[in-house]
Amino acid sequence: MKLPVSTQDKLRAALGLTLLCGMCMPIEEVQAKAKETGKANQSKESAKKSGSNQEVKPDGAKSETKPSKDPVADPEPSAKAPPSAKAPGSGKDPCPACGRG
Amino acid sequence: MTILCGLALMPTADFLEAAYPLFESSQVDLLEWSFDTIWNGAELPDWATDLINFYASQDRLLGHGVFFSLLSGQAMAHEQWLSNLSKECGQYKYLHISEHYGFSQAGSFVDSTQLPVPCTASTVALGLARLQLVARAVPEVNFGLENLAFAFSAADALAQGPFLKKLLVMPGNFLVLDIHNLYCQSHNFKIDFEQLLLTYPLELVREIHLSGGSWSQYENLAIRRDTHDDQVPEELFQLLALTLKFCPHVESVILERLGGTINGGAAASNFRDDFSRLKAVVNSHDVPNNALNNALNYASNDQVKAAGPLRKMRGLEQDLKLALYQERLLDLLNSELSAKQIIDLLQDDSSLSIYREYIGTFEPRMVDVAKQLVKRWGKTAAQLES
Repeated sequence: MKLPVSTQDKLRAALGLTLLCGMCMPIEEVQAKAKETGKANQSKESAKKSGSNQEVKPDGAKSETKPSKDPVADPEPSAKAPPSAKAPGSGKDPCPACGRG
Repeated sequence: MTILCGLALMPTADFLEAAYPLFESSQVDLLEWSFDTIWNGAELPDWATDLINFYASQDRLLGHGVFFSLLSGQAMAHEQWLSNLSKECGQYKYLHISEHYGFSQAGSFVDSTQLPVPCTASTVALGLARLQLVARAVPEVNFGLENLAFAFSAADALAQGPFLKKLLVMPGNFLVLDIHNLYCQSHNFKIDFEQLLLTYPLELVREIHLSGGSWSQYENLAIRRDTHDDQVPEELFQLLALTLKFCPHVESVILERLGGTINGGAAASNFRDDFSRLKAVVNSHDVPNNALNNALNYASNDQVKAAGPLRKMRGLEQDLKLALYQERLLDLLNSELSAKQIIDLLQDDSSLSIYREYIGTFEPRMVDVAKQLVKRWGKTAAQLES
């Protein structure tokens, strides 16, 4: 059963993952990498060296399934708040649904 | 006919982490959802709601209730549950709905674990009446019952299959066969698995559950428990293959794992391995030709819709002697008395004399397990309010 892209996006966001160039990666790592790349670009620009833009840019995120949003700069809100490990049906039990035997 | 394989949805982070690769690689054919666990107003995470919506839209969503308490002698929250079920089935399209054989509510207990009920003419009538109430609430939905893991004795374990056969008599009724539950009973009472399996109405099995569990000790005895908190034992995959041979109308096999128990990468990997093994066993099973001719066992609810049978069952929706026994049992199991003291008190209670023979079969080690279960899962109305 193939999940629609929108559902897959939600699952990934809840896990703190994002798609980068078709690869599933932790959002935090992607953000960190983007930050590093940004800094490197900045310093190279200021030094005005030629051939300074050979690094992989985070605009590989163009292949993101949600092109209208930049997952690096602005991850889904749900990615910031992973799903609760608490039970839906009770305050203290991980899940009252099964395994009560 | 293809047998579909799925997962019981747990709306917890560990389940999502473990199951995501299975969803991403399109391996999960079906989703089973315990819909009544959020009727208390709890909110589901977006991702879980999305999964439920998607599988419902594809006719691949199974419903598995846990709070109906089919065989409570006293009418508890049954009407409210049925009203909610009707709304639930209006909101989502479930392929079918199932619940459990047994009772989990009595007296002041609004919930506990599922415990067995003695098979008498009165308890059978009670179960049939409740099943008819379900059919009246959701006449278009096929409704099944799952076998229990727990029994008070070998005699109790051997009586549960025939009891279910007496209950599952309406068109649209079916059996959810939980293989780990049978495994627990087979081990705990030294009953051959196949012998126990054959006591169930296997022609009515539409769905199979597979899970892991754990061991507990009573004196020097190891007792198998259906805790859903570990890998599926290797032996169960062989028992799944054996069970499939006896169940010609199986449509789905579901892997169950308790949310919050898949701790770490190794456990997540084991969970996925369990699912792959389950699929491999199912895929290597040859579906018998007679499975295609299933109209007799899983048809329309036309008979149920007719008013006649419902009228006949009116007034049988309660069994007050059973209610008294269940109330006393839960209260005693929740006390600090020993298992032997509990059995003695139940047997000496003159108001419970009609159950004396049944209680006489109780094994102290299993009463001790029941004590642990009630203390773990039992909730009174007062506890819920505080």
